[in-house]
Amino acid sequence: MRRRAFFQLSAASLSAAWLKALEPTGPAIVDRFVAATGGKAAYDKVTSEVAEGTVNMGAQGVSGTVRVLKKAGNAYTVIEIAGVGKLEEGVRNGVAWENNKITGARVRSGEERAVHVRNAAIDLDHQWRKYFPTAELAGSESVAGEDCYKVIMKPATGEPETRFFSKKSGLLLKMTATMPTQMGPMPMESTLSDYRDVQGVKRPFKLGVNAGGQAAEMVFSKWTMNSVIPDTAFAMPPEVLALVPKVTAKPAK
Amino acid sequence: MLRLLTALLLALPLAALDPVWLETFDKVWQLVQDKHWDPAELERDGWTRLRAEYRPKVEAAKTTAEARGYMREMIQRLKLSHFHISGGESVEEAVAYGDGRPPFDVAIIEGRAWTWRPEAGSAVKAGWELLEVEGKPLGESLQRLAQSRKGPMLIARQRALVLSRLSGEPGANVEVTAQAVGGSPQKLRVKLLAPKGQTTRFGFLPPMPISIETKRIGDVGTIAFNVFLDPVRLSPAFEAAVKGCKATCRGFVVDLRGNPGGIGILAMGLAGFFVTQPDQILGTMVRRDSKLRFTVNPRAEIFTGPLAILIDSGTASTAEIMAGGLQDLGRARVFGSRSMGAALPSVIERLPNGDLFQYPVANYISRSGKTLEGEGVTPDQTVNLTPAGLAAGDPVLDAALKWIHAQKSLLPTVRR
Repeated sequence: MRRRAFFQLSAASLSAAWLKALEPTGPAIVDRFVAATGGKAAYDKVTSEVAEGTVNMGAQGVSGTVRVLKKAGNAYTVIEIAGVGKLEEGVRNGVAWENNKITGARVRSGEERAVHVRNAAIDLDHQWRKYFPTAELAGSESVAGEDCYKVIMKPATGEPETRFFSKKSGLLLKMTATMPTQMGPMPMESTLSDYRDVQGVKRPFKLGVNAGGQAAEMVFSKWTMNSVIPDTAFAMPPEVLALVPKVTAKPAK
Repeated sequence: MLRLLTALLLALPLAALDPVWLETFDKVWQLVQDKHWDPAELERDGWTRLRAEYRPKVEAAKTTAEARGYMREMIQRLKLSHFHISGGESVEEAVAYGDGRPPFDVAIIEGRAWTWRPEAGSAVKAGWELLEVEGKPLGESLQRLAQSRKGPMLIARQRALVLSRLSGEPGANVEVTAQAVGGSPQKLRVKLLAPKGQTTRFGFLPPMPISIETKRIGDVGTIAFNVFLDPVRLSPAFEAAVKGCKATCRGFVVDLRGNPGGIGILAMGLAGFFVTQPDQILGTMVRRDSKLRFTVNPRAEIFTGPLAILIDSGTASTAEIMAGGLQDLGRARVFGSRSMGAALPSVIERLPNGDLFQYPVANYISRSGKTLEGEGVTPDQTVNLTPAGLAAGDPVLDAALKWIHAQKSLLPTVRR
């Protein structure tokens, strides 16, 4: 009797081990996401991106427009909200900055700068190994009713990001991270949905962001790749330039 | 007419209370349950018990006013600021109808209403006691409020009550009975003025006139504004005022009296016009999942000379965060009377029944480690108002000017 129980237990342990061995690794899951959204070859052709849409903090009656530009390590995002004005942020030649009428102009430094510079990279998704040396599978979780792999991605410096990839489609459905901000570490959760093909690469046209207790939803109506973006589009506003006197206006590559 | 209509609507019975009211109750309860910054404290305050107590009451309510009343009662039991359910009308605190304003300000001294800072040409002079509005005595209503509240919050509510009685459409006449010290009561008709400033909108807040007044009083620059909204106009106004003081002002006065706050992080941005060092902390917003610091960085134009901030019982929320933070940093000297002590960061959401629900989502701890909620900012120099002081002018501003002129250094504005 005791021997039978022992064998049953051993079989169960072995099954768990086999199942684990059958599970994909973290890197394989991220690579599958790259493949599911177009593949490396399609990503390699992307030199710039422009996304435009609306931003809505519906629960609080606040809404506006959003425009995101990316090109060769430079980035610029502007959100315009009635009663608040323009909320601008960007990365230009390695300088990460923000500017708005509420808190003024500021140049980001340290870990906060590192995160924004990393996120500005045009190859962030498909060359993810450059930015995240490790990607570790940390279990499964349901996101909006869809079974997902939970993968912890650790950058060379700074806090890890946790990403949730659909087991079925391979798409990235959720990200959580603690973002370094001017006000200190801020937990942030993003949900990604409504993936659509944009010149061979699938992009999430709906992005939900929950940070600092405020929930916002961005819905993009237009997303283009490889359009010509003049370097001036990434120029820092005079208020920011005043804070970075040594920055030279190198053209974006 | 509108008040009568409101009273009629409040009295209307319902055939059966729409299920949306129970849904609304559940939403209110759940939002607080999910967002309160300290679940243990919430439980100690009996939030679960309050649900069991009030849900059946809402379910059995015969009128919408009754249902809304129970929900308001439930959230008031937590004794925290920034809880409000809009919709219907509050019976005790009359709501302003029309955005006209009287040609004078109102100060509350020991539970009585006094006129203050009249507009040029106003028939009502400063330092008169206001006895009646439209034949309705003020004393009894002010006393009734005093039974339920104390401290700066009471004074602010009493002032709001008087101002709401004095409201109406711009151009309308309101009859007031006022009495100068040592004089006899006089009945006067005062014409209501248009609101000061431009109207702005933000989120679910109703349209609000934003008034920003900058001026020079001799060699001192001043700025007064009524709410922390509309940064597109407010920040440039601060910048222009600071720039205008460049090398010519002995000091600067920021008048936050009667300012109820607004966009929280605007305190960081406006404080930035008065600091020289980056990453200075005004205080900390304590949420359930994080502690966020209200961090100040110098703006492009800054004023480095003596800074006075004026506060009173109407100074609340973001205004308290700015005043208390700059006081804690040793950057400003604060004059006036204790602020409201209503400093919980909050959000406003629409409820299933269409009402708006404002609720706090964080606690706020000042740089010095003090909880501002319920405590407020204590001035460095308290200036007690008296009828004679009101008649003489603005004793709080005078105290600030006197202090500025007593400072030795004349520090110019620095452009970084």
